[in-house]
Parts: sequence; structure tokens; C-alpha cells
Amino acid sequence: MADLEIRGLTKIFPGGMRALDGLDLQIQDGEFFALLGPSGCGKTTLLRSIAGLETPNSGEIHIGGRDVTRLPPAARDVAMVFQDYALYPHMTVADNIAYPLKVRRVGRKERREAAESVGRSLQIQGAMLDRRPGQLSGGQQQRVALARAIAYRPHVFLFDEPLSNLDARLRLEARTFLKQLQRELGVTTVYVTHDQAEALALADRMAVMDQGRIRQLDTPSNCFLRPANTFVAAFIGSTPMNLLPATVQEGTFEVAGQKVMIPEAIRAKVSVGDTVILGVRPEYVSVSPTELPGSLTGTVRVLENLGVDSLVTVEVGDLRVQATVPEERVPAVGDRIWLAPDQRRLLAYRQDDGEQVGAPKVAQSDAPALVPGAE
Amino acid sequence: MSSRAAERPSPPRGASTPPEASAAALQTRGAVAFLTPALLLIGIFLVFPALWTLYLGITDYRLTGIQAAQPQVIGLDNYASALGDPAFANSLWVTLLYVLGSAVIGQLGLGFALAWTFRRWRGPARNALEVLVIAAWIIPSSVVAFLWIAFLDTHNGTLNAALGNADIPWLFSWPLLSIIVFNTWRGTAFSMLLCGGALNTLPPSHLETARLAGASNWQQLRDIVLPSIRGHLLTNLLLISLWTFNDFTPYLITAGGPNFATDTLPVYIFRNALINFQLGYGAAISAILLLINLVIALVYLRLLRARS
Repeated sequence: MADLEIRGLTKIFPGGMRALDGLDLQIQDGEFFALLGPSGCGKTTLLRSIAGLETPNSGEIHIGGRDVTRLPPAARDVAMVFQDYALYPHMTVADNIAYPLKVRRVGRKERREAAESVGRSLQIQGAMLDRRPGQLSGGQQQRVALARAIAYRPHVFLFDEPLSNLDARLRLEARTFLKQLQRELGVTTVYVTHDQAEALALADRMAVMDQGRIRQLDTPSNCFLRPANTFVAAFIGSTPMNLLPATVQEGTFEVAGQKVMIPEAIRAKVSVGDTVILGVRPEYVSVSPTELPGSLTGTVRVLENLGVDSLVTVEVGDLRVQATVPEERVPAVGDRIWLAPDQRRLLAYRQDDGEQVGAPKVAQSDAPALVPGAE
Repeated sequence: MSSRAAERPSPPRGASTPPEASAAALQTRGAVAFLTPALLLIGIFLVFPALWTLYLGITDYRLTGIQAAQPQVIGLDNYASALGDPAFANSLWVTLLYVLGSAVIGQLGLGFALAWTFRRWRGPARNALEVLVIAAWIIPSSVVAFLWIAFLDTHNGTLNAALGNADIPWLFSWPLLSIIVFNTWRGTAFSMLLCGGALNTLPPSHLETARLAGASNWQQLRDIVLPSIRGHLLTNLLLISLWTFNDFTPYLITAGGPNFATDTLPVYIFRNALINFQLGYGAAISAILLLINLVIALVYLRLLRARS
């Protein structure tokens, strides 16, 4: 068991691609930490640097207080589970699980016992231990890969999208299982994913990454409810957050020529004439067939069924605003409706750097300003 | 190619027959039409000569004299005299050493070593290496044979010059070793390319998992790399063993000598059939060579299938 500390980590690949850009990060002992971001954001490079499979250009990595930056992978006491599981097709399941022990010259009998005892806790037992990975289902293979990582008794688990090769239903089951397992073992875990739902569901804390930097480092609920900037706002959430350009007027935001009340919490952070980007999740926009005070009005253009709810896309002036509505209140396409953002959930971002209004200006030399539609 | 074209259903003609039946008939006819030229060529140039060789092997057919005009069937006499001939036993032994040394150890060993060593090389350096190795493979036999004669010559050879005018008679003192080195040099490209391709099929995560567990290079090679590409290696071994077994190029360098030290089976057959004119005897040895090739192929195929 160990905590993990990363200081000023920079990795530049041959050809000038800056995968990690002076990254700082602290992960507590026993924490389940998720690295989330679009492909190419540097999350896998960070994970591989922690494993020792990539050599950073500068910066330090400490595991359990020990500087491991220059140590080979094997000396770091970390175990990694890859997206493709990396099971050896020519070995039995038991041999796969116990391979790290074989490398450490543990005897055949003890290896078998270790494979059996770790396997039991993951429902890999009996005849399954003597099969080849090719004879197992995807979910079983995934558990064998986990078992191999556990048998190794590492200080840190590194997971590189371990669930993304499973089908949707199995992925949910494996997710629950993985979280429970991590709680039981209490091993510090770094989990890379591009699936925001997975990160929200699993992690104690998470980092949302973009272009080799961390854009928000927080708990899943804070990342969801209070995204620090428009990048995180647009990336997290199963339905994308509404990001609406607005100008500040006396007591109201003007959005597409209409007025929305400025929430109490924001009022002090903006001044009249500012241009901002308003962020509100579709889940926090209430819909009414009749006029509501301080609401936007527009025409329903698209209806999408999400199961319990429906996603309504409304044309407000030249903007499109989305809201979820429960099944009994679904309007028809072409209806005129009123949309009222929840005052407690309404967020405002600066137009120039995309950070929340009132947040300190971060020196961002080469990061482009994030505006809606820039992705 | 031709068979696939034949599978394409043709539109039915004549209205009298049911469309499916006429389509099937057309399909069969099309298949026959497409296959016939290829089958004819195979029959004329492969099947007939093979059967003819088997027939010649049981006759006393010669290139000159009375047996050239009226060859007699003499049963298994040719085979009996081959098995009793110490020169044949010598040839078989030399051939085995040649295959083992130049194909199994030389080409596969060096080819795999090169592929493994340079597996992470990319770009111009890699291309240069491949061009160098492949050049040895694609230059015509007669040209490389001359190059090696020039290279190994006792008085004016490049090798001896490089060793400071050593005057070592390579082809005389180490004839078998010389052709083994020659054939290794010549054939390594194929094994290197095949092993390189096989190594590329190995997912990087497999070796990285082993590295994280602390496996040394040797352990990675033994536990993961070699078992994973076993099928590729055996197929490669099958091909290069058969090619080397039937290789005639050494004759262009040593002519089987000195004192039959490099008298491989193909050279032995050539000597008996076309220099001593004993075509019947040569045909019988060819049949034995074919049999040995078959045994080699079967052993490899058995090994390939053994990977449960």
C-alpha cells in the first residue's frame, strides 16, 4: 500500500508531441483515482510513466515516498491491467495468474496454491484454472487479468481501460465488481478511461485531462455538478451540457435576446457588459408549456428518447438548448415551450479562457481558449 | 483465383431447364473451363515428371549406350546399390550437416537474432539493414557463387586480404563450413523477414506485462516470445529445411569437393545422372530424396499440430 506523488512530469515524444506538460498530482494511499480525457490527452502516457514503461523527459514519480522515476518497471511494485488483458494464449489460466510468481522463482506448488486462492476470490476455480485464455469468455478473461495483477501483491494497481473490451451489460457488472474488489483490497488504484460514466461511477477522485494537463482534479460529483471550465463541462455528462454565450446586464444574463436571472452566487463575480458562457445541464432545465418567470422560450425541434427521460432540443433564437423531461411531460415537435434553468445549478464561464467566473486566472501560454463548439 | 471466378453464378440461359439446374451446370462447366489449363500445366510439368522419375528409378536407363535405347526394368536394384554405396551414405551425412548448420542453426538462428535485435528499429537504418540482408537473397545463384569464390580464394581472396594476406585455403581446408556459412549468409533474409513479421504480431502489452513482473530478456524470450511465435518458427523451419535439402548452389562453389566433402545429395544425383550418365540410378536417389523431404515435412506438421 502506498501513496503516489507526481511532480512536474513532462513527456515529449520524438517528433515534438507534448503528451504530458509539467503535470503535478497526488494520489492518497488506498484511493481509487480515475484519469479521464479524450484520446490523445496524455492519460495513458501518464499511466505508462507511472508503470515505468515510458521514460519522462523531466519530473519525478514517488510511490510510497520512494523516488521511482529512474527505476525499471519491475522495481516499482506496480501491476498493470491492459485493455487487451495481455493473457498468454499458450499458458493455462493458473499459469497466467502465477506467471509473476514464476519470474520471482516461486516453486510450482506454491504458485498453484496462489493461483487457486486468488482465483477463488474472483470466481475463477475448478476446471477453469486449467483452461487456456482462448477458451474463456471476455468477462472471464478480464477476471484472469485482474487475478494476475492481484497475485503479484503490488503497491499500486494501474488499469488501462480494462472494461472497454466488454459488451455494455457485462461492463456494468464488471464495474461494480471492480469497485467492490478495490475496496476490499484497499490497494491504491489509478484507472484510465475515456468513458466519463465509468470514471464517475468508480473513482474517489478523478482528473480530467486535456493536452497533457489536468483541467479539473476533484471528486466525481464536483466534476459533474461544478465543472471547473467549459472543457470539463462539455466532456462530462451523458447528455452534453448546454453552453450558451451570454452578456451580463443589470441583474440578468441576456441569452439570444432573452433574459435569465443571475443566480445569487454568481452576481458578485460578474459586472455589467461582461460576455460569459452559461453552462447548465439538460437535467437541470425545467420545461413548461406555459410561461415561467426568468425563462427562455423557443420551439421544440428534436425529441430523443433516453429511456426514463426524453431529451428535448429547443431552438431559442439562433441557439439550441437541450433539456430532459420525464415521460409524462414530453412536448411535441413544433411546440412552443419555456425553459427555466435551475438557479442553483447555473454556471458561468469566462469567454476568454473558459474557466469559471471568479476563478483565478491561470497562466496558460499555449492552451487555446475553450469556447462551445471548439471541439 | 480461377475457382473463385467459377463460383460466381452465371445467369441461366435456355428456358426449357429449371433455372437453378442450368445455373449449376454452367457453374460446373465454368469451373472445369477455368481449371483445365492450370491442371494441364501441373500435369505436364509436375505430375508426369514425378511419375516418370519413379519409373526410371526401377530401370537401368542411361544417357548413352544400349540402355539408352532399350532400358530394362531392374526392380529395386538401384535402391539396393544406393543403400550399399558409402558415397551415398557420405552424401546423406553431408546433407544433414549442411541443413542443420546452414538452415536450422544458421538461417533461423541468425534470422531470429537479427529480427529480435532490430525489432524496434524504424526508418532509414532499418531499411538499409533490410536491403543489405535481402540483397544476399535475391541476387542470382551463379552471381553469388562467383562472389564467394572470389571472397574465399586462397591467394587473391577478399577474406584473406582482409586478414592481411593470410593465404588460407578456405574452400580446401574448411569446405563444408564454407558452404554452410555461404548458405547462412544467402538465406538469412527470409527467416529474418518472417521472424520480424511474427514478432510484430506479438501485442506489446504481453511483453510489458512480463517486464512489470520483472522478467529478464531471456525469460521474456523463453516464456512468452518463443511460445507465441512457435507456429511461425516451425513453418519457417519447414520451408528453409526443404529448400536447403534440395539446394544445388554449393556445387557452383565447390563442385562437391574436395574429396566429396561437400557432396550433398542434389550434387550426388547430378553427378551420377548427368556426369556418369546413370539416369536410372539418379532417378532412384531422387525418389529417396523426395521421401526424406516428405519425412521432414511430416515431422514439422506433427510438431505444428502438437500445439493443443
